[in-house]
Amino acid sequence: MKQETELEALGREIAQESVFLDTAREALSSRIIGQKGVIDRVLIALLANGHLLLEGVPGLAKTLIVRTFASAMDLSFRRIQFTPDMLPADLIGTMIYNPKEMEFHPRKGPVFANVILADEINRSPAKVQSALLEAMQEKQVTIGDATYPLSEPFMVLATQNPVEHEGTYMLPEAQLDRFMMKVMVEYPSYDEEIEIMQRASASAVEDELPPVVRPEQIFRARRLVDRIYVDQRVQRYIVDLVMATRYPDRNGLETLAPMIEYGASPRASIFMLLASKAHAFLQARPYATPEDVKSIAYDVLRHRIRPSYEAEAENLKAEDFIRNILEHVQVP
Amino acid sequence: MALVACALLAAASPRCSAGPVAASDVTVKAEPDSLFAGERLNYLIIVRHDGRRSVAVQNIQAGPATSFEVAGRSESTRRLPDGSAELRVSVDLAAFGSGPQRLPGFTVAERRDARSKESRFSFRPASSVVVMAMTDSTMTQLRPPAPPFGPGYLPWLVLVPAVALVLLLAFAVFSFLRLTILKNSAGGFIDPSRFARQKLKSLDRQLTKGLAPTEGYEALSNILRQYLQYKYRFRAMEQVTQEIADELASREVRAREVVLRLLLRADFIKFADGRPDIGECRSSLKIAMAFITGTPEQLDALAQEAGEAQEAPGGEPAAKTTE
Repeated sequence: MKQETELEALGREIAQESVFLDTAREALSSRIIGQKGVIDRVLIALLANGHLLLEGVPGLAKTLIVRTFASAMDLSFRRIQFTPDMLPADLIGTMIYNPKEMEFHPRKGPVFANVILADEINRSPAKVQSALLEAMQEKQVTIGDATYPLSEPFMVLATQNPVEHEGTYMLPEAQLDRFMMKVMVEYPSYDEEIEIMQRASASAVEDELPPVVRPEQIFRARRLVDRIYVDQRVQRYIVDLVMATRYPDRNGLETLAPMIEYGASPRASIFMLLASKAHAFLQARPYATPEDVKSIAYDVLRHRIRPSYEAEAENLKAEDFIRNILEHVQVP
Repeated sequence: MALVACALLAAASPRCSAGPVAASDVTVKAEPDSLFAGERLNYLIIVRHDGRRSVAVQNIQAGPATSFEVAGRSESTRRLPDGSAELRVSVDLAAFGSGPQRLPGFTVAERRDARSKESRFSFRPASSVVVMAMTDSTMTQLRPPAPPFGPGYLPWLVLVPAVALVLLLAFAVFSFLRLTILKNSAGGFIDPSRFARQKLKSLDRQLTKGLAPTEGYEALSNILRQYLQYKYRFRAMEQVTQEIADELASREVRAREVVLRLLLRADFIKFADGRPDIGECRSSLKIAMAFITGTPEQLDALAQEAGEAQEAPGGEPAAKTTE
């Protein structure tokens, strides 16, 4: 009974501390029409200390979501528009020579902020995209000989447009793998679009959203997320799913084997565990269940599974494989 | 009826002349004298000599370009009472073509001894046999010979394939039945209620023997999921409780609240390391049995009970499953 009591206590703490999420959701909903799924994913990434890749056609409020989120959380925000002529130094900073002092001084780049919006990240060449690697993984940046830690919380929210391919550079796999989730931003519903239209046509300029969440609340929530109980069965379920992306034939999915060029990396298992815990926190639950795993499986796995040439010829996407795997791997 | 064609070019002589073999010493017989194309005739060549010579019959003129084909040959020599000898060459010939066909000629070779010179002469009988064509008269291919089996083998020839066929059919039926049974055991057609009841009874016995209640709840959850999967035909084993709830709601299953409550409790025990006591586990077992075997009225009563229990304060922490 001891464990149960601890969980009950954790449940009470979570119930108290997760109230700020409702406040944040309300605040974001006041500016963003619809896209509740995307908002939840942003909150999961924030709680699980991960980064997010948002993909959607232009005009779906991707940038607005990130900007509003940063201001609601009282976090410093920098928007970086990725362009083909961009250099890594434009992102992380560089050493500037001061003729008066006859010394080089570091000039920190826009990456030194809490929330980074890497807008249209696939418009820059791989060397610029890779400049983000150290920042995303190590939470630090090296300029010249010195390494500078980034401020916490640090979160990269990148956007890319799936339609245009001319003048774009596909994100390298190593870069993609560092994003905890890839979220597809969908079109709003009919009623939501009417509301968007009415708001956009109003002449009054909306004020910037006042902060409703303090960074300390985020840190406290992160500590609680760390304590969320994940049973061995759930952990094994996560690994079963990830292994099924690598060896579908071992799970009775022989037809998928030639369709997947390579499956998800161990980082997928780590991120699935973290995201499941964060999802359980959003539900104010002190333990994770397979429902949490299933809820975030698409977003964590979709950019980590590479369809083969045959799959592309059959117009099959990573989502089709994930659906198939979720339908075949037994839930504990 | 048999035709005996005696080609005695000279006057018939009861004794063989003591000298070189001549055409007058050769007799041929063919039996039968009429036959269908492709059938066989026995062509007997008899050469009489003084018994001190070596005599042979060679180059029987039968082959692809003729109306006859040699199918078999045997020969023997016998000594006659008067001291002379007789070479008997029996040739099985397959006949082709149509109409009268003259019997094939041959060469007779003889020599006195190993040192003397061999003398040869050709012999062409004047007699013929009548071949009745069943097919095209140009047919020259040899018919397949009759099987070398006597009539005693015929029953076996039928019996062995028949037994093999019966065995093959039996194997096919057995395989089909086996596959069907295997499919049934995987839940294809057997009664899911009966299967689940048996499993629940077995689980009850295991609990009596000392199975931990946590493991009992896990087994109960699996039995219920399996039951739902085969009863309502959806992939309950691969679905989480919320998905199962949606499936049951879409099928308007009676007393689904009961089973969902049990699954939620099992989820809590499995994933939140809950520690139920044996009494609670047995009670859940009974509810599950009632859900599986209950009449519609009993199920409605169960659902009402479950609804009241859910409204009662103090459930397990965070049993919220919907987003």
